Formats: sequence, structure tokens, C-alpha cells
Amino acid sequence: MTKNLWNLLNSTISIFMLLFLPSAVLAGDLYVQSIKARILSSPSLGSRIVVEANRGEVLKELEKEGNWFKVSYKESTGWVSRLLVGPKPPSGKVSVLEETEEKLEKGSRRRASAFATAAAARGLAEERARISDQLKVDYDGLEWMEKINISDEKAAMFIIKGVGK
Amino acid sequence: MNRLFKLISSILFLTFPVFYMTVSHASDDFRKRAPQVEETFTEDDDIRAEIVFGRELAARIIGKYGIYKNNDITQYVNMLGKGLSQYTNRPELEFRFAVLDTDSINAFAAPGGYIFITKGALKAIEDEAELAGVLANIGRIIGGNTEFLRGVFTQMVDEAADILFEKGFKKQDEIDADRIATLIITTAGYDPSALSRYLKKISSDEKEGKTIGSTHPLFSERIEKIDTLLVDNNLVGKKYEIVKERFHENVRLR
Repeated sequence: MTKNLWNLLNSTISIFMLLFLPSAVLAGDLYVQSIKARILSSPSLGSRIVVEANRGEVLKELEKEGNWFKVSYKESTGWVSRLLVGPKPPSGKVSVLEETEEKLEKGSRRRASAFATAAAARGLAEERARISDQLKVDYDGLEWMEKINISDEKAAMFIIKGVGK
Repeated sequence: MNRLFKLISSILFLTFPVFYMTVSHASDDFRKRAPQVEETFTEDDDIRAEIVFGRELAARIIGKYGIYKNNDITQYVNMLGKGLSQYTNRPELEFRFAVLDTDSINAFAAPGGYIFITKGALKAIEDEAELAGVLANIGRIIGGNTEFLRGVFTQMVDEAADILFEKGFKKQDEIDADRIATLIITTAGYDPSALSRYLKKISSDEKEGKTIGSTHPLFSERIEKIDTLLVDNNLVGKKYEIVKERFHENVRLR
């Protein structure tokens, strides 16, 4: 019990640190995470497009205003939405499905084990107990959903074709 | 301890699974709002934990409503949704979309990239821009609007499901999600007012007695906020794409 309280206290403190620390991080490089990122003349969606940067390219952060970063990119300066950029280069897809396919069977064993896979990786096997059977689950439906496979490129082209840009 | 903290913090940042059409005004004292932060999801372990958590929640969403196994419509919804996800800062997630087999009008997003729209919502939608606005619910899991869910500490998936199905999310989180969805569709090239149009339509449907989710939506305030956002961003009165024909070619439910 004491250990649980200690865990909770520590987690709470850590989370508060996590919430407030980012504001102390210095401005620096921002990497484009979206397929393209428009750099606009002002921090307003309807403003003029100065230039477009592509996924993975680096923007230099100059200042921040609300949900916008003022950045420099090549010879240009402008504003980019924070929803399109991140502090690290974009990464490849992360998946848990391969491991569940290999190691697990269907049904409840899968459910418990799928969670355990990530939990164990984090030293959190005890968290398994927290997944209960209160609600009905449908893993067959979930797997049907997960079988659909569309590449990023194909989906991006679909949008471009639709909006004609 | 460090690992426990990392898991919990990643879940907190990522668990904004959710009611989209519905507005929550749950008044639980234990739920506090966190300030907006620039979260990053760069460690593979954290992302895997997010996906595993999201899968569990997704299995419960499907368990509650059933999945509508129509290949053509599901392909179309995935093509559009995945295309929209290209305009976000979560390239590491494999976004997946499915239609839920219910006439209730609603949509949900679970962490890890599992997004759902109901058949009822699809029937209410009139063009691709509106569908984009609803699917841009992915904003829930990319946007950084965080509701501090202490219940998640102890109840994990069940608590998240409870918020999804019963309590709903706080009003400000709905407003943030609408804002992010509007930004996503605008960036992708769709009519920025599409989500606002859609909400106006389903709010009038609600007056006619149709089922809209299970919590209590405050559509008027959400619509007003989106419309203000459109004015503030100089997005009113310009011509944008709604892509009506392709929508009706692919979605035939009526």
C-alpha cells in the first residue's frame, strides 16, 4: 500500500515536471513531420504561402506564438503551424502487430498478452491486472480493421487528386 | 519507477480517446486540465505502449457497436483519413479507420491511431470535406490538448472507455479538437468550414429527435468557436474544395 502511494506520488511529481519542463527548452531546429508544411506570411491559416517545406526538412525556430512557430527556411522566413513540425526527425512507422502475430493466439490470451508485451518491455507486468472484462471486446473486428493496408504515398495522392492541388 | 512514470505519462498524453460529436462537461473534480505542451512521441517503447493501449480501447469500441464490414466504404474512409494524417506531426503512427455499425451519429478516436466513424454519421455527411472534418478527429491524438485523467492511473482502459461511452470529454477539449480538425482539413486543401457545416446539420438533426451520441453536446458553442477561428484566420468567403461527387461515388448508404 505504502509502495503504491509512493508510486503515485512519484508519478504525479514526474508528470508535473514533464508538463512544465518543455517551456524551458530552448528554441532550435524543427523538423517537418507532415508530408508538406506551408510556411505562411503570418500566423494565420488564410495568409499568403511564402514557401513549402517537405517532410524531414529542417526549419530554424525564431519565435513562438500560440500554435505557431516563426521559422526560417532556406532564404525565407515565415510562420508554420506547430501541428506540422516536431523537435526530432520524422521516424518510420512503429508497430506492435508483428509481435502479437508471432507470439500470441486469439481471444483473451491475446488480450492479456498484447498488453503484457508493452508492459513487460517497460517493467510493468503488474499493470496487466488493470485490464478487466467489464466491457465486451471484439478482436476479430479489430483485426479486420488492421488488415487494410494503404501506403502513405497512395493516400497523399488521393487527397491531392480530390482537392485538385 | 522511471518506467512506470514513462508509461503513465505517455498514456496521459495520448489518452484523449474520445467523443467527437459530443461535448463533455463532466464536472468531476479529479479531472483537471493540463496546459498545452509540446509533447513528443519519439521513443519507440512509448509509441508501442500507446498503440497497445489504443488497440485495447479500439477492441472495446468495436465490441460495443460492431464493425461495418463494407470493404469499399472502409477503403475509401481509410484512403481519406490516412491522407489527412499526412498533414500531422505523427508520421510514426499507422492510422486506421473503420465504420461502426450503428445509426447513432458519433465518431471516436483511440490512441495509437484507431479512428472510428458511425454509419449514422456517414449518412448525415454530404461531401468529402465534411467527412474529412470528422475523420480529422485524429487531432485528438496529435494535438496536445490534454485532459488530465487521474482515473487512468488506476482504471486504465476501462476508465478511458467510460469517458468515451459515458462521461464524455470536457468542453474545452472538444473545442481544441474542433480547432485542430479544422486546421488539418484546411491544410490538406478542403473547405475549412466543413466541420462547422456538419455540426450545424447534426445539431438540427438532434432537434428532430435523432440520436447523437450519448452525452450532451453543446453544439452552438462549438460551432461559434469554429466560425470565429475561420474569421480570425481569414478563411471566410474564399472558394474551397468540398469534393462532393467522389464522396457520393464511394459512400452509398441511404
